[in-house]
Amino acid sequence: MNYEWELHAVVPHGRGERLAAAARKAGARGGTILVGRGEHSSPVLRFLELAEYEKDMLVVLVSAADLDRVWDALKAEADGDGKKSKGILYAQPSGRTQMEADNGHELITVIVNRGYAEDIMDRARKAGAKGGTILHARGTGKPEDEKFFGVAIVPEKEEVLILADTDNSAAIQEAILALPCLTTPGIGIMYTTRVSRFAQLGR
Amino acid sequence: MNLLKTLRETALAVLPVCAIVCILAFTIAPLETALIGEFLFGSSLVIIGLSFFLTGAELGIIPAGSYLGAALTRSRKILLILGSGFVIGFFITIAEPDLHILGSQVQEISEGITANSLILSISLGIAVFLLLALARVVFHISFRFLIIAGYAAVFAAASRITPEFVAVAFDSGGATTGPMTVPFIIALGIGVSAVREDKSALEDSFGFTGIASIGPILAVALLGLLRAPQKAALAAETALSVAVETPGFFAELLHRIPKTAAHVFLALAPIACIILLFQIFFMKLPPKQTRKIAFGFFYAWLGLVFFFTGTETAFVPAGRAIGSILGASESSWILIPLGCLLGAIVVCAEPAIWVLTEQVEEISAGNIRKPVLLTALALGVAAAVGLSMFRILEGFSIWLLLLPFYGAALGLTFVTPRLFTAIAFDSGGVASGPMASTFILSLAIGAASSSGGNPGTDGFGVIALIAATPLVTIQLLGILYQRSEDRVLAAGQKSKEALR
Repeated sequence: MNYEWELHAVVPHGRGERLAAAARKAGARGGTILVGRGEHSSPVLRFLELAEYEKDMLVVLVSAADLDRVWDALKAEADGDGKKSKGILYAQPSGRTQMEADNGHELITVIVNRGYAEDIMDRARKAGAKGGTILHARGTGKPEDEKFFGVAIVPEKEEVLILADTDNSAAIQEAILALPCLTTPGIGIMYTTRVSRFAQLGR
Repeated sequence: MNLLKTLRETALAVLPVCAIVCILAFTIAPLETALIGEFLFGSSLVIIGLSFFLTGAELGIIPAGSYLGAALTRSRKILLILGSGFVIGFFITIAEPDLHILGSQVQEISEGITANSLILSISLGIAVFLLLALARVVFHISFRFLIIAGYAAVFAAASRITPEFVAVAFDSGGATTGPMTVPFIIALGIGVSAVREDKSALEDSFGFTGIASIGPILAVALLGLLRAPQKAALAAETALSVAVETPGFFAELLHRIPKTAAHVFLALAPIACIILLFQIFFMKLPPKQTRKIAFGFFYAWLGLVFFFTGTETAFVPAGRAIGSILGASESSWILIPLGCLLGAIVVCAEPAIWVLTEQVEEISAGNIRKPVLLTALALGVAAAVGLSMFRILEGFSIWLLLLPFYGAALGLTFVTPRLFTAIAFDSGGVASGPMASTFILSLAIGAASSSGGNPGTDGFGVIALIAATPLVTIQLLGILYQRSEDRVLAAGQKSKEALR
């Protein structure tokens, strides 16, 4: 079976399982749930550092034939209980799939050493980003990594995902690159991919 | 984390305690109306305090601890790692407010042991064992080996001191790992393991608090051996004497708040200073991160001030009053089921427990769910409090309960998945936090004094047992978990074969 599409749904923490169940019902074979965090856009909460909240990110691989059905199922499940399930849903082609018509969105991915993600989000927001998701991850060891009592020390990483309008994307990337704390070499990488479908979840 | 969400969760955890107290107050344990009002006001302070503390812990203390742990491991300087473990262990313990209360109580009951010598030896105990916990991870020493060796030393020392001192020793293990030290130590462990690429990194994330909890028990037991107190019997009226004459509730409140604020500030200051030093010389975190940690520490401070004010002014008097009314009543047996019920509920309102379960859920990527872990803990603590009440009414030796529980706990380490063994021993130190040592302890002391028992020893016994039972229940949970995981894997294997 070929999985030509990768669906990503970002929803409040705890909602991932129900979306995954809906996707399975609609024909998807399974899904992976990652726990990430985001920030409310309220300036007062952000000043008080109280804006952070957790969210689930569901990743589902589907075949081209199943794409529409799973997409609609995810959307229906998330829209089902109104404002409780605010979030986004987007699809990216995996492999050599033809792109669908441009929908005006790009996904900016920044992978940095742990601790820098919030500064990046802050800067991106100032440059016009509406939000973003931070995932906690860790790098893989390389053979040339230094060993410490027989165990390789790997860097802790954070992955920042920002879905941006194509018009805005370049400005956001520039703003991120201009961050003073990112000038040292070896802090991280950034890349942009196109998004084929995009939908706002909930009302 | 969302403050409102936390507020709702903590309210759900604390309100059942309020409900039970109110039901009792209007039925079998009539309290004065004023006391009920004060209790309800204090409970709202507890809820607000808990919410702010948890928000602050998540924002400041936990990230700081794990950044620090990661920075230490990454430095690859063994002396720096072990030295920091010792220094951190010493300074965060010496400031823990619970420890000072314990110290002054022990000073009252035993000649030859001063509060200062007790505080100093307990802090050294934690420092040494935190160093051992770090050394264990670096040198790949088995957790089981260290725990068994540690408790063997504890029991060897404890078997030679007076029974009253045994209770104090075991209690200090739980009392000193309080709401400030626990999140920091847990996070430190997670940080140390997070930068390592090997299979046991997940298991090594936990267990730091469990190992550190041995330190104070051993330290107090050794102190008891060395000083051989001539008069170690705990006198009834000295244990946790809370002034009965109060100049009015709100005057008392105004008097307490600045004192509590200063206490909590002093307790947080050493951790903050250590983090600041590391930030300047090692971690060099970006600005936004630093700001977040600073705000987190402020919220944690604010939350603990509210929390302690609420527990001290409302929970302790109400618990004591209900305990003594029930202990003196005809149907004192009701204390046993009541103890079980309250134990189960109170553990759900313990701040450090929330931090632990949150961390376990996050590290296991949602596999070990918070409610499951909480249920196992609640069952264990329910049994602990119920048995303690039984012991208060019957008055038998604490060894009869401690020995089987620790025996089972150490035996289970051979069959439990290692991750759960580590979490279990962490929970042991965590379960006996400020909620238990205020509400449950006052209930037990009240019950013991009115039913003719020895309030000092029986009260301490409660805490020691609360710390012992999770070691068993969480490990049992681990065995169940392993079984169901095996079943799922086996089913997956089967369906794969069917496809072929």
